Amino acid sequence: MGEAIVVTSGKGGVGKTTTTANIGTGLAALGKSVVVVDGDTGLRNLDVLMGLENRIVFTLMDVIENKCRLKQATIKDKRLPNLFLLPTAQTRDKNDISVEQMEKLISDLKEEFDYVIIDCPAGIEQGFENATACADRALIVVNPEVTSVRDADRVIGKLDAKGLENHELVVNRLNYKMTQNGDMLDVCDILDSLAIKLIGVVPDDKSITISTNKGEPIVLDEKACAGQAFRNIARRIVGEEVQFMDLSSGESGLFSSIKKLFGAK
Amino acid sequence: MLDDNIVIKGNRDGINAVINMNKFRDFDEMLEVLIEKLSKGRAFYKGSTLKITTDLKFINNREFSKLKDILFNEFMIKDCIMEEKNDKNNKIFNGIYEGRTKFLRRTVRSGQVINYPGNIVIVGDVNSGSQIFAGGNIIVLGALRGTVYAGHGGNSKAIVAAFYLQPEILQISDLMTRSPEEIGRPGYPEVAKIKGDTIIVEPYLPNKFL
Repeated sequence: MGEAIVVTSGKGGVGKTTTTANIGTGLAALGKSVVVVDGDTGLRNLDVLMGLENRIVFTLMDVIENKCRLKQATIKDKRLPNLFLLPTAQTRDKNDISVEQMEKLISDLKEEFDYVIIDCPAGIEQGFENATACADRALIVVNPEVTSVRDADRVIGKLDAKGLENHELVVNRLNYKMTQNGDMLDVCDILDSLAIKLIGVVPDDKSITISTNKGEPIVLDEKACAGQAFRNIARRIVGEEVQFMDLSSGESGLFSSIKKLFGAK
Repeated sequence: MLDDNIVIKGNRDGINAVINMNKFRDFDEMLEVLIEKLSKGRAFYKGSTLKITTDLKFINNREFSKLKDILFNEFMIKDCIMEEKNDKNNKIFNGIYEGRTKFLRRTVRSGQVINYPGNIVIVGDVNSGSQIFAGGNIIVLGALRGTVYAGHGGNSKAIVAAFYLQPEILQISDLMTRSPEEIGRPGYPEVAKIKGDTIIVEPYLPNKFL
């Protein structure tokens, strides 16, 4: 019996889908069998991030409507043999799926895989209800912005009300320099107001955009800082103790120490 | 069941129907149930005066005239009087020095509403976007950033106390205020209470901090 993890945030555009793709890939790279499920019916994107958009034949909707078997709809990843994607329909909307149907689908998936990662859509409507109804664990993605933190707070409240209290926080797109200057919320500020457990901090990284467009999750890029952060989160999910990255290290090269010497920001 | 949502009783002044609008989804649902109830004693109600006691804020003019039409035409009721419901539960809560208290050992998050006709103690934060209604005092052992209504129902002696008092809206009894725009974070717990006809905020032990 596997574990279902929902990746949610409330606010849109904070990096839920990116987190889903990368953590899914990261867990698969650790040797776990993983399926990533796109919960964003009507606005699907997870397939693009995984680079599997032209392999979609059947979708989650077809499985629910018994038009195909679950095996037929899950797409095997290009790179990792133990990673699968269950895409959703683009031509339907979130109200076409009920909580019961989703629960059945996820429990079927949990039989087959170690981890079922569900990408939750933005908002707290039907799509959110479906994605969170059957999860055992939640990852809440926030950006270091007041708006995002506020929405995350609402979402945590909703999850608590459902009885899903195993939730952890992913701070995404943190710009170390800006937090140092006090222009951006610090991780401590976010934890202070949300009061939940932190599982990872992902630095702001331009190469994420490139990897998204290419359809290659950044977690597979050994050199990228954000990739390392996602690998660490994946390891923490399976229960390893991993130290938090020192985000200032990216700045501690020779060049920046010279800059520091001259007091340049 | 829907039974106690509409209670029809006779008293000295005539026939009185007490309607609890909170139990109904909307006006139309209430109307259906009312008609069903009245239908049982059609002959009895004919020509009588009916007093309807309910929360008038839930019924607008159009709905009221619809109700009247039905009562007059279908049940031949002579007159209909609407009366605002004075809930007996809405008595002012008096236990602010010693009395009924609810303890919450969690953070109250955005979108959550707590309503209690007594004192409330929260061991945790109250985040922005949440609402707390208490008949008496509100004590927050943490940061208070939400909307709070202490002394809800009319007790103007109620207080609001928090380690970090920065509410969106703070109301005690019928006085309302909000946090000042310039945020200076004091390093000590604060208490808000009514003095005269304004809400004042002071350190919880004035002699210790001022």
